[in-house]
Amino acid sequence: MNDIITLVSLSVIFGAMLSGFATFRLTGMRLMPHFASLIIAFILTLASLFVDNNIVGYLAIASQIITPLTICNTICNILKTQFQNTGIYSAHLALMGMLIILALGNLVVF
Amino acid sequence: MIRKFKVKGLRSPSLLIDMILSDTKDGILVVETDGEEQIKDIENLLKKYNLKYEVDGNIVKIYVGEIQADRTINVVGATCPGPIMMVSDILSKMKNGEILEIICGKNALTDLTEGLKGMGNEIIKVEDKGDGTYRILLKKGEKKEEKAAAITKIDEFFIINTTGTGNAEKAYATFMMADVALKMNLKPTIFLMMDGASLALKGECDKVKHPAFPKLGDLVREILKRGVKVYVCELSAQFRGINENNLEEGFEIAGAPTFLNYLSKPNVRPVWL
Repeated sequence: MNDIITLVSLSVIFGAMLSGFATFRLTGMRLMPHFASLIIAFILTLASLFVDNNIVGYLAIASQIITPLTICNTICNILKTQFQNTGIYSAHLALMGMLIILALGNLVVF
Repeated sequence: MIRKFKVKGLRSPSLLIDMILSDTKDGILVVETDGEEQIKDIENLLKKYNLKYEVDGNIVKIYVGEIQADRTINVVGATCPGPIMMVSDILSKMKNGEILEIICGKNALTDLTEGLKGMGNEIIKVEDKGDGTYRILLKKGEKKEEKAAAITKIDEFFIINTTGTGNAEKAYATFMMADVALKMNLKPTIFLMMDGASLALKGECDKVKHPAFPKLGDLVREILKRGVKVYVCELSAQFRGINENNLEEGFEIAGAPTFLNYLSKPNVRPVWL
């Protein structure tokens, strides 16, 4: 696995966690599957940097692909009903978009 | 035709009303009474004749036969601000005291009754036709210039939410402020517009929960139970695909006339969130 891409992925996930928590605070205290998925992706990606194990690597990539998908339901609802507020989600959305491309890149060079 | 008369001081006002009813084919009798005793007497007579009536304080409104409207307009299907504009247009061509019959859908009902009342007209009757449409009978009037009172007591709050569930804190504040206003004997009314309309989507309020407060949905239901009106801007609702089918129970679709009518009342203070 390419350590550079993994490191970039990790930084994107960490940034996504911070921007995610900011929107989480704004929209009310709801623990969604997306948060759990994001935290798991962070732990697995961090682990894959230190553990030289293919299973951990694949699990990290899988969680990086799943995480952006878990936001789809929420973001569709927001775009449909609260589009004037979408600006506050844009940072988080941008990082989610980057994450999925990096994950695919990780998969290709694995 | 509307006939107004007083029966104050009469022991049996029903005798007089009986005589008047005998030569009234259609129209509305507006009877000013002394109070309960006279109203009871009149009610007994009206029950005998099986006539529709309304009691508003000391005034009894008796509906005789079918009231003939001078003009009729159908605004079913038109969305805000269409109905009020169509009705205003036709009203401008009518004389004071003439009666206009308006057929409208549920979406425009509040707007028309509230908005037209604010314009100085008198709503004579509102009938549910049973097929999703309503019939409003309106007597044209003119807005009277009221002398500005030296001090106007603010006893109503008009809470306007424009952020919806996108901002949980403001969503909580909307309903909590209404709760506090009720406890302070002030009358709160909530209007959801722009993104605020997202709160009106069925089940949406239940998704917001802060550890320190009850679930937003529970708070909303509690407020509704205590009689607070929650209006949702028709245009904003349409932008978000919210309609009668997915509207939160107890919320009402309203539009610009209702909104402006509240803002123009001197005893109402708007609160923007």
